[in-house]
Amino acid sequence: MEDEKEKRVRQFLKERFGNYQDEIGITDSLEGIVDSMGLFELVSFLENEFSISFPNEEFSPQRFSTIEGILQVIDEFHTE
Amino acid sequence: MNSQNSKSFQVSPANISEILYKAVEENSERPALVLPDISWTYAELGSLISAASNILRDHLINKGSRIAIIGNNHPAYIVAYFAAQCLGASTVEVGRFESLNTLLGIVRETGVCFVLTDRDDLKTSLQGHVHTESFQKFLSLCVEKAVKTEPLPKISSSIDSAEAASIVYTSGTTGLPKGVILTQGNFCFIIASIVDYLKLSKEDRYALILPLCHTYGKTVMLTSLAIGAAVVLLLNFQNLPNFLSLVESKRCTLLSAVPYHAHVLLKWGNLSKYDLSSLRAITFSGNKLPPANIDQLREKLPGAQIFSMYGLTESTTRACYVPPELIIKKKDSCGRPLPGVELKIIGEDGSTLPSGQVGEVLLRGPNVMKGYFLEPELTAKTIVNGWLKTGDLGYLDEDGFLYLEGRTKEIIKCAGERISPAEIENVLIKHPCVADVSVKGTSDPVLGEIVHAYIVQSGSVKEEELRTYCAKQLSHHKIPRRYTFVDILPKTATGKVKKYLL
Repeated sequence: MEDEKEKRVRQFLKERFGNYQDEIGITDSLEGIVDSMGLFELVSFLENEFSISFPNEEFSPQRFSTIEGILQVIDEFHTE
Repeated sequence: MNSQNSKSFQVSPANISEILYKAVEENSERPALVLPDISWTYAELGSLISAASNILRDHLINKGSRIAIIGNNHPAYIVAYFAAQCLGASTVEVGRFESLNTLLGIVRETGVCFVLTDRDDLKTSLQGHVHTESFQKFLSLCVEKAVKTEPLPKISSSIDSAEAASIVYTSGTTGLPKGVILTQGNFCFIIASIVDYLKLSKEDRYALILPLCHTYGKTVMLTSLAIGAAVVLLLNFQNLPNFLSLVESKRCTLLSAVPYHAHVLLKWGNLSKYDLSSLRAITFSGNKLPPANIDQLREKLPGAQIFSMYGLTESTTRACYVPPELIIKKKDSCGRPLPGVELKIIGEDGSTLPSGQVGEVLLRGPNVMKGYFLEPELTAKTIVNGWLKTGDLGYLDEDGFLYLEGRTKEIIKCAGERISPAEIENVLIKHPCVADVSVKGTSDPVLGEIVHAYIVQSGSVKEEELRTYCAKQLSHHKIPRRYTFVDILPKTATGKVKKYLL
């Protein structure tokens, strides 16, 4: 299941961000890949794809700075 | 001709440096620039600008010279901008996302003799060719020299209102970004207009989140300083709780934004959690603010007036606005012309159209640019008998309010950034497996529009390969987010792609 989530996140990053490479590790920084405008696209994708509800007070760009961080957000704020 | 408010509009200062001198003289102990952890008074900012002028002079920058400022918002940007203006030099300003090759081309084309940037790749590439300084180092030098510096240099009397203040690069319709020459007079006019209709005062604290390299962001800085108000420089909109806490704690009274910001704030901002009662006005430009967002903002921020505006870089960012008291009645409009600005709608044969009929929007007035840098033919095509052909399609209602209906020029507007489809097509067509290509904007709920490429293959190529290829040549925001492979592109008899069929 974890692999499936990572696969979907990676697929989104690949489709949306030109600098994404499959070789990017789970703890590697996404700086230079997810740009400032892309952050909100990413959050929008996570909300729709994984049914998460993301509270305002948790909205720190650092939480989305690695694939590992994104997967933690999905686990933490999954509502179903 | 449909024109509004044609009474002449008096602008007293002839140039930007005069505005600065007056502001520093009259408001020396008032806050000028406020950051999360530091605040500078007008006197302190004046000293920094004076020190910066001396540094630039040491590099032989004087009247008629050009310096480039390329990077994110930073105090050094503001200090260097005004230092150049005080010396009678002009600033060359480019979007912070542009590719290295584009930036190098602009530096070469404009013949700048000093580059201030936060881009390490640009600094490295220019080493040995043009003097280049990082934002941080430049600011440190200014701070170091500011204590023993002289007052602001005064050569303003010799700076004419027709002289270039800035060359602002913006996406055109035919490929690479074009340099829009904006004069001292353009800025002085627009500053006076905005100060007037936003009713700015010394008590205001204007939140700056828009890029300074865009004229819209620049006018936030210029209008605030012109009136003796404070600019609150907020550098991290993406960190929403932090951003909103700062708007609250700094008691910001105004915020200028694009609809993308409204969407994000309304969706993820949890605005009711913060005391934003200090906000008395929010302005929007770039794209039309969706009427639903107007309603939501009025509900969430009842104390803030909403200004919906229209303009383009070529009109020094501003041409029309909807007075806030009419925002509900004219929810779909982007406003009526500023006093002193004329607006008309023309048909395909060039004749002026009556209200209700859709045609191209033309503007005339002191806000219209001098022209495009090194592009006399394009300038002649764009400014005809003083009228700026905006490339936007729209109509006027019986009250003279403008409604936009589309564009004659192909420009994608992504989160307030202008993107030229032609620039992206020119890159993709050079890929060996691409036989034909067309690029257009596709609607996106967050960004307004995103770049969508339609590809006819001449060999086998995957989406991923095209993404990597584009990433090497285009800045992030220009890389197509979507690709569709098609057998053929629908074209007119003259070979033009019928993009509306894609």
